[in-house]
Amino acid sequence: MAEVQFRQVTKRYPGGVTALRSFDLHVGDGEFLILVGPSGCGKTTALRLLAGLDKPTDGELRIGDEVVNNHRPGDRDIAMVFQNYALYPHMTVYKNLAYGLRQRKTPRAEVDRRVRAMSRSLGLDDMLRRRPAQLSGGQRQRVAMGRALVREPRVFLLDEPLSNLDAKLRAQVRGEIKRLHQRLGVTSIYVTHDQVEAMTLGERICVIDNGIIQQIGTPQEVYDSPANTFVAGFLGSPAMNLLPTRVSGGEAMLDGRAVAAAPPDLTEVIVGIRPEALHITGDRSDGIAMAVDYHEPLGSHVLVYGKVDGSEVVVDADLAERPKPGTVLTLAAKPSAVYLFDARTGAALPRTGP
Amino acid sequence: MNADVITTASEAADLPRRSRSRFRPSPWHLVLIPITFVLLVPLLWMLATSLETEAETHRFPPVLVPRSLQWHNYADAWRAAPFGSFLLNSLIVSVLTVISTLVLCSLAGYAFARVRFAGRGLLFIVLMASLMVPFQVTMIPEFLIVKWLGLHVWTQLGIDHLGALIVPNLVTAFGIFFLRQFFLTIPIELEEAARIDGTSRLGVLIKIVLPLSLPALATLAVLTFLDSWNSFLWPLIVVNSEPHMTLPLGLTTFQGSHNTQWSLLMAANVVSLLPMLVVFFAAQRYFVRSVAGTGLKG
Amino acid sequence: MAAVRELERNRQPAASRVRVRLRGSDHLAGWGFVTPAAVLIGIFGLLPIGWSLLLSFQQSDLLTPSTPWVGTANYRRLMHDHTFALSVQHTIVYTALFVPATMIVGVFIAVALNRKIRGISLYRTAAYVTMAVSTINEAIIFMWLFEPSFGVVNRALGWVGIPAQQWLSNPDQALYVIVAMTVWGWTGFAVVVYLAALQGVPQELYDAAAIDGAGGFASFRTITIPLLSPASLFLAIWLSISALQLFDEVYLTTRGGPLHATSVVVYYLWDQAFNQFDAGYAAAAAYVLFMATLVITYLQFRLGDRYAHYRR
Repeated sequence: MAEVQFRQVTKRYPGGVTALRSFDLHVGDGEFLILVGPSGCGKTTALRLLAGLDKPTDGELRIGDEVVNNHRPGDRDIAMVFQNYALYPHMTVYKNLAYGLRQRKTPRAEVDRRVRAMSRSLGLDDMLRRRPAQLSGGQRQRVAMGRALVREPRVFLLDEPLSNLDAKLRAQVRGEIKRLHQRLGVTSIYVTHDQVEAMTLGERICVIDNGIIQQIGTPQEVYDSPANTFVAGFLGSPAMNLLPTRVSGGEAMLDGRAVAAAPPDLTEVIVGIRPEALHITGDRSDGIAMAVDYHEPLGSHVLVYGKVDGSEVVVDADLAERPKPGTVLTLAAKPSAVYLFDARTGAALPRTGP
Repeated sequence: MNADVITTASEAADLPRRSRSRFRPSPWHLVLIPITFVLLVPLLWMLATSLETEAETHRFPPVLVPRSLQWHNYADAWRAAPFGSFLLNSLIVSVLTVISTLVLCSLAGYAFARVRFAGRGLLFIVLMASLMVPFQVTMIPEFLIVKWLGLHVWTQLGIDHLGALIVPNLVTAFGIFFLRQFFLTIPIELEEAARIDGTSRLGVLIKIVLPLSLPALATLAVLTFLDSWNSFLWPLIVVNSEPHMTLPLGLTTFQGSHNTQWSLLMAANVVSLLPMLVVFFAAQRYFVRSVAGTGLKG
Repeated sequence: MAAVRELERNRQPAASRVRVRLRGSDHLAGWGFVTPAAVLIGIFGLLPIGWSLLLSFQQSDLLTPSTPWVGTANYRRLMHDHTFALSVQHTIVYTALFVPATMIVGVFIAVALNRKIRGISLYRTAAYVTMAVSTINEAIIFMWLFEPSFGVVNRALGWVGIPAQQWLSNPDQALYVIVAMTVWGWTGFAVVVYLAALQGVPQELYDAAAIDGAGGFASFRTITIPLLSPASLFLAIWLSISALQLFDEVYLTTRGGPLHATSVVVYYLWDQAFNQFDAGYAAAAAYVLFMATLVITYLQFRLGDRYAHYRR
C-alpha cells in the first residue's frame, strides 16, 4: 500500500490534443479515490499514466516515495481492472489469476496457495478450469478483480469496471467493491463517468472536466459546496437548476423578486438551486412563478419541468403534484439552498442570505 | 473555456503507446526500414539490372546504380519477342474470365443463398467437393476434354487456344461459395420488399443484391484476375505456339532464348510485372480483404 | 404475410408468370440460375475427377483413342519407381522447410507492422507487394540473384570471403534456392493473414500483460502466439497444400534438375503425362498426391483443433 501523487502532470498528444493539464492530486495511503467526469475529460488518461501504459509529457508521478515516470508498468507494483476486463481468452480462470504471479517467478506452491485463496474469497472455485468465454459478465468481472488483487499490489486501479454490467448486477458489485476495500484497504483509484457510483463508492472524489481538476473533496462536500457550475451540474440527479439572472441593487432577481445577495460589482450571476430544494407553495406573494411544461411521475415522487424567467427548471415534488401543462406554479426555497456562480467563469460565489 | 478538442477516453487509449511529438519519430522505423529493404531488394535489383548495359551486368563488384540508364533495353526486349501479343492474349483471357466468373458465380451464388429448389443442398455439396481436388488430378482429363472440344467446337470459331484457356475457367466453385456467403449477409427484407413490388428474381439480383455486393464482387474480380493472369501450368499444357501465348508463357520462352542477356531479361521481367503491380496498387484493399477474410474464417 | 396473400389473390393475368413467392420454393428459377455454372463445373471440374481415377487404371498416351485397362499396374509401378520416390522425398523436404520458414518470417514482419506510426501503410504495402509477383517473375529474379558468376548473392558472399556457389546448378543446393524463392514470394500472403489476425487482438490484453509484469518477449510468447493460433493453422494448411503442389518454380528454374535434384511430385507427373505421354501413370501419381494431401490436411486439422485457441 502506498500514497500516490500526481505533480503537475500534463499529457499532450501529437496533433495538439491536451488530455491532462497540470494535474495535481494526492491520494492517501489506503484511500479510495474516485476520478469522475464526462467522457473524454482525461480521467482514463490519468489512470493510464499512473499505470505506465502511457508516458506523461510533463510532470511527476509518484507511488510511495518513488518517482515512477520511467518505471515499466510491471515494475510499479500496481494492478488494474479494465473496463472490458481484458481477461486472457486462451487461458483458464486459474491461469488468468496466476499469470501475474508467474511472470514474477513466484514459486508454484505459493502461486497455487494465493490463487486458491483469492478464488475462494471471490466465489470462483467452480470456474477455475473454465475459459473466460464460458463465463457470464459478472463472473468475468470477478475474475478480473481477482487477477488484480491476487498480486497484492500497492495501488489498485479500476477503469469503469461496472459499465458493462446490467443495472442490478452493478448495484451488487458496487457493494462487493466497497466491502473488498474495507477488508483489504489497498490504495485505490477508481474511474467512472457515473456520478452515482462516485457518490456511493468514494471516500473522496475528484471531478475532472477537459483535463483540468474541477474540485476534490468528499462526496458530500462536493455535493453541498460545488466549486463551479460544472461540478454543480454534474453531481445530483436531476442536475441542479442553473439560471442566468440579472443583478439589480446588489441582489440577484428572479421573476422580479430578490433571491440572493450578489457582489455589488456584478450585473449578472448564475443562480443555482437543486430540484429537491424547490418546493411548491400556494402563496403567490412569496415565491417565484414557474410555467409548467410537463411532469414525470417516478413512483415515489414527481419531477415537474417548466420555465422560470425563460430558463428551464426542474422541481422534485411530492407525489400529489400533477400539474397540467401551462399551469403557473409558485416555487420557494430556503435561502441556504440557493447558490451563486459567476456568470462569466462559472466559479462559485460566496453566499450570504438576502 | 478553452476551445481545445479533447479526445474521448477510448480514442486516447487507441493512440500509440509510446507516441511522441512530431519531432521525434518512433524507433520502430529503424526496424521497419531494413525489413522493407530486404523484402524489396529482389525487385529493386531487377530494376537496376534492367537499366544496365550487358557489360555492366558482368562487372565485379556489381554495379549498384548504373552509370547511364539504358532505357533502350526496354525497347529491345519489346522487339525481341511479341510482348504486345502476349499482353493482349493475357488481357483477353483474364478479362473474359473475370466477367464470366462474376456473372455465373453471382447467378449460382444467389440461387444457393436465396432460392429454395429441389436438390439445392446436394448440388452445393457436390460442387464444393470439387474444390477439394487439386488441379493436378483434373488437368490430364481436362486436357483431353479441351482438345476434343477444340477440334469440334473452337477451331470452327477460330478461337482455338484462347478458348482452351478461357472455357475451363469460366466459373469456379470457390467463386460460388464466396458470393453465396456474402449474399447471405444482405438483409432479406430488402429483397422481399422488391419482390412485393413485382420484381422478378433476376431483377432482385441485378437491381438490389449486386449493387450492395460491390466490395465482394471487387474482391472476387481481383482474385480471379490475379489467378488468371499469373496462371502458368494450364497454359503450358495447352498452348504450344508463340502467337497464342499468355504473358507468363511468353516470358518463359523469352527467358529460354535470352538466358544470358540479363539486362534484357530483367527489362522484359519489369514489363511483364508492371500490369499486375498497377492492379495491385489500385486494388490493394481488395487483395488484403480477400486473403484476410479467408484466413480469419479458417 | 398479408401483403403476399393479397397479391396472390389479386394476381393479374399478365403478371401471372411472375409468381410472387418469397420464402417458398422456386425450382425453375433456382435451376435456371445454377445450370450454367453447374454444367461448366460438371464438365471441367467433376468429370475429370472421375475420369482421372479411371485413367489411373488404364494405359494412355493422350493420343491414341484406345486405352487398355491395366488394373493396379500403374500404382504398383509407382511403388517401385526410384525417381518417383526421389520426387516424393524432395516434396517432403521442400514442404518441411517452406511452411515453417514462411510462417516465421510472416509473423515477425506482421508484428513489426502492427503499430500505428506515421507511414505504416507504406511499409505494409511494401510487405504485401510480393503477392502481385507471378511465379515466372519470381523465378527470373532469383535466377539472376543466384547466378553463379554474376549474381549478387555470390558477390556478397565474396566480400566476406566465402567462395562462389553454384546454387541452382548444384544438386545439393538447388532445392534450397527454390525454398528461398518461394518463401519470398509467399511472405506477402503470410503477412496479410497474420496482420489481420493481430489486429483482432485488443490492445487491452497487452496492457494487462504489461501490468502483470510480462516483458516484450514474454508477452509475445504467452499472449500473441497463442491468440494467433487460428491464423497459424490456416496458414499451415494453405501453405502445405501449395507446397505439396509445387510446380512452376521448379519448371522455370531447373526443369527438375540438376540430376532430378529438384524434381517434385507434380513436376514428375507433369513430365510423365505431357513429355513421356504416359497419362495413366501420371494420373495414378496425381491420385497418390491427392490422397496424401487429404491425409496431411486432415492431420493438421486434428492437431490444430487440439491446440488452437479459438475465441468465440
